[in-house]
Amino acid sequence: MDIRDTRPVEIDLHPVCNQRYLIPTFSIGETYALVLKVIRRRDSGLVIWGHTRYGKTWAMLYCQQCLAQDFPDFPIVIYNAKREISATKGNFYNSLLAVVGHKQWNDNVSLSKKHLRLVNFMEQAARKDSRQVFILFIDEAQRLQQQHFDWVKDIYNDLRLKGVTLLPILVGQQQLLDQKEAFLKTGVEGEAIVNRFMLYEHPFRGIREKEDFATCLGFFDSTPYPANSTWTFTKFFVPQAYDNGFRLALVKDILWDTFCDAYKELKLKSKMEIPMQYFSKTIEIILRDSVDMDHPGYTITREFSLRSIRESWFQAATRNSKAADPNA
Amino acid sequence: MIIVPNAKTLNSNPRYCSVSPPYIAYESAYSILSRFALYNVIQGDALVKIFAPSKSQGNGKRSRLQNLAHSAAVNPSAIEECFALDRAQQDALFLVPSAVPSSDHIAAILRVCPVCMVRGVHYSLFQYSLIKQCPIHQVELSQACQTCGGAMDYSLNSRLFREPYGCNHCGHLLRLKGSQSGQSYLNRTGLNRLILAHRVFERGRKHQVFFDITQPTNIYFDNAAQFSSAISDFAVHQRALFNEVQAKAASGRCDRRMGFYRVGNISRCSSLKNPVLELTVKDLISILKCIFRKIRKRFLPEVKLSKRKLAGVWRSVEECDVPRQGYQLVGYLDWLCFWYGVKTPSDLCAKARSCINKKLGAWLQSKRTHEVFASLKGACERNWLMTKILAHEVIFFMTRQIRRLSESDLTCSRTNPSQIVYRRWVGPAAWALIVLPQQTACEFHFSARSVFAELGWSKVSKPAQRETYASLSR
Repeated sequence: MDIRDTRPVEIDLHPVCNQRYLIPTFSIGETYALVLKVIRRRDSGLVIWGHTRYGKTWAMLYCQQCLAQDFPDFPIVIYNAKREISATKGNFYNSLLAVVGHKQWNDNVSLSKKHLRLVNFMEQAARKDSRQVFILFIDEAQRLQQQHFDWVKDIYNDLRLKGVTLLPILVGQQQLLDQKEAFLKTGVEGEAIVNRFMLYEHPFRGIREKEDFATCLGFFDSTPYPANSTWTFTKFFVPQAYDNGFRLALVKDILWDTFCDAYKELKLKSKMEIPMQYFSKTIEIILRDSVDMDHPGYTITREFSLRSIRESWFQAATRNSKAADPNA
Repeated sequence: MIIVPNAKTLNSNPRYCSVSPPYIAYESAYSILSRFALYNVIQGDALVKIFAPSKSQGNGKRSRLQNLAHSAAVNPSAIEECFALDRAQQDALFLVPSAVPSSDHIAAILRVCPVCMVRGVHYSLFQYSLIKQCPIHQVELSQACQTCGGAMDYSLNSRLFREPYGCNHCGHLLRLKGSQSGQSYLNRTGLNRLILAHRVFERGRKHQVFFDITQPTNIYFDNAAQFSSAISDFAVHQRALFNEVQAKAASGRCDRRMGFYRVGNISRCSSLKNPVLELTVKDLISILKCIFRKIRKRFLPEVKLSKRKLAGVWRSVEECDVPRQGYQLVGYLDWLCFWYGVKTPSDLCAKARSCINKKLGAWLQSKRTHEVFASLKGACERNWLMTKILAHEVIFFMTRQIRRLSESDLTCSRTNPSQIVYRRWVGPAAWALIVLPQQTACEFHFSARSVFAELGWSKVSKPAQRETYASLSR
């Protein structure tokens, strides 16, 4: 065997096998465009909402990676909100300090000191870039209570006095919209929170169109790993078939139709929307299981793709989500 | 395009808040650590824990209370991690060992310029106890809190950083208060003075400059009175001299009217291959004799010394009541005795030859162990420098003594108010040596204050001489 045919890394170390890759869908592209707009206009108040397993967290990570490339000095952090029985300011500041990367986040000091540490740290981090913006993605934002928003508001105001703009971007499920309604009903205080942090909503979607589906498949055919090598994701798993012209994008019809068939089996009236989680899982199963079957004439059959979709638990999860929320 | 997330972006290492500005030229470790404390809201013991040297550093014992002017007082890796300074900047936070080789003259307590503290700056230079004024604002450095009068230990201890920029006793800020704080701007001339003051330290870092201030222990004391007066005056004179010589050495200029001289060996560079004989006591004796002869002829032309006159002065001149007009003569005799290593002027006739050998031999030996000679390459240069140092010390002490007559703090005799009590003035003698780095051989400049230029011709008439000899032999 030619040495050039040897895979550059072991199969188990490939990002597809350990789910260490981010794939941009149309909705992720839309989200990133919105984030860029928010930065340009220094508008706080973006809310990204979507159903569970639709890939909101991956979208956030994708935006973080893209921003790190486009603006290397930008401070971007992702805070994962926890469900709390009662909001505690000290714990909230501690977790924020940990997220922004302060070395002494767990110190047992007064609340005012924690607040100062946080504000100073964020200020200095933001000053590394001339735009002086700090981007804070808050994942699972529907778990935040009014006090949490008040505390973020305090930080926002203190940073504003120092000339730094804090841009909190809330990412969560549909309950965020209900929360917004509830805040507006509480009066001026609630309105201040809404106008600062929940001004405009952006729904995060799964894959709804065949073109979007094909584009995503095309990324597997074109992205090399390791970078600057000729080993694209598809070639890595089926090198002989790839050299013979096999591409995932070329079997888009089979894959899309199989997804449609799998969805039809659920007998749902609404239009199909493939959450990113299950799309990626299906392709991962297809690629991983094709390794042993690789030969120059290899292609994907309808049966194989249907089995992969089932094993990704797309149907089970879709059925569950419809049962939990019939309007979804 | 698919992105494989960069592990660095996903898992950023926890760090401390960066400080702004990241570094101020010439600032001290206290200054940058206080800024760190302010930005990170970490004070006292917590801050000490971060920067304390590890046990593995040095001799295995944690030296937490070492003077903060010494680089061993903090953990260098902690400084590197928290401030991202380059090596030179990191060294400049401390005086020892980068700027000065030993802990001599390093203040044990925090000394601040209240005006600089308005900007939150403390320069490492302030901890050099020979410097009494802030070079920028020319105000006296403060060693105690202006509110409570408390002083603070200058070591990495929790109390020093309990209140950044503040007094650890009363909590008040050490800065200038109220409306005066407007003077805190960093003016150009002030900055130039600061740079000038540091230039010497920078040269010292590259082993290009050497300062020497003769310590009281290096100077011969005949009795307790000399010692006590020397101790009381020493610090003041030492500081003044250091400032003057340092400034002159750094500026590279000399001012003859102010009594400064600066000599270079540029034309005397020896080839390293040619062996040159080491200087001996015999060589120094002729230099010493020449100096004393010249001083007598130039400044005390009427003084005539004879064996008969000297033989009459059989006791030490220290604490003798002498006529005011004869003071220069007594000073001359006293220092002649000092350098000849004899106790009384009468011994100059009998014991001079053996004593001078012993005295100058000891002096030569003490100077040969001086660090400056280790850095000089050629024997010719070493000999040249040795003669310069000897000449400087002889002239400096002598002229200082003679000039004391014009000073008001001379003690009048209790028995005869027209006479004064003679005391040998023992003080510091300072000099600076600048080794120029451009030369492959050894080129250097010797700067010192001789006070020679300030000394005028003194008239010691024959009757006054007679009276003086009489008072000394009484």
